[in-house]
Amino acid sequence: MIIGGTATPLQAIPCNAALLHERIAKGTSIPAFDINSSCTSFITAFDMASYLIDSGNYKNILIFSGDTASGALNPNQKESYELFSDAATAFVVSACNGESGVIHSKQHTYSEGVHDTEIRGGCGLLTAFKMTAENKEDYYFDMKGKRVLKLTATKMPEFFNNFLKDMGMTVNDIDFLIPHQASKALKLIMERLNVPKEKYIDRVSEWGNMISAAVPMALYTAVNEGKIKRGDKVALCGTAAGLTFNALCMVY
Amino acid sequence: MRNIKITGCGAALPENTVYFGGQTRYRLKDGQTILDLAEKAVKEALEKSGLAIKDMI
Repeated sequence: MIIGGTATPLQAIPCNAALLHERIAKGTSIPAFDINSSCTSFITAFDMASYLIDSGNYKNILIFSGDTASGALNPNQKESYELFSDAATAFVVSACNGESGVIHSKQHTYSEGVHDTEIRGGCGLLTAFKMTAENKEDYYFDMKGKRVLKLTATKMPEFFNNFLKDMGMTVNDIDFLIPHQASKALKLIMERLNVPKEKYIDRVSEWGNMISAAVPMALYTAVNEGKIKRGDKVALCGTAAGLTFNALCMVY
Repeated sequence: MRNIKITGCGAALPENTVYFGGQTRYRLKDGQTILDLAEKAVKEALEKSGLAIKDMI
């Protein structure tokens, strides 16, 4: 199985995973589909893959996450134009004998923030054929950063604390946290969640926000830099357009 | 616990970069798509896992 945990489709139909299948798996019948929870698509894809593998339906699943952020950035909206990067990541996840696994996952959506991060044009609401000089801005990515930050700062602490409470854990029980590299406000949000600096990775200044690739790129980097070892309790956590919060705790 | 193990991971960035206030951002070049990067990332992840695409079943 190939799962595309991805937010920006290359074309309206078919999904990104099918287009990748053509390049890497042509001639096979391996199923391929996308899961889109915007910036947290990798977390949702990883979560879904854990159910499919744990149930015995699959032994190995390939998850890829990556987006063409630059395709719809508005040069007139500085806060988003200067924030995003393009990148791609891939993870192979496999069945195992209990040495690793997903302990818990939680995803909430607060649709009072649904229009705070959006691209209105290009799909069914405003098809590509309806683009005019007057509505061109609707086809660009539009982010109301202050509103997103305010809603995140208000709602995220309760969400994250409940996520930990569900597992009977505190932040001290988590060995390392992989947060979505959303913006320079990452430090502020980590302080709100009482996560000490040495327990999370912050590469926003180096990479910017890589949409669905942000969390897996940070995970990939933390693994390669030895910040995460086998047996560690690792939490993935992030915000996404929606406004959606996503968290998953695993034994790496 | 749902038994699942990360057996391989890969990543790829565009060579093209832009800078804003000393911060680096990565942007695809004209004619390049995210699939070009995804192919590289997949190759690395499969090599590290010791598996082939046909094993994704």
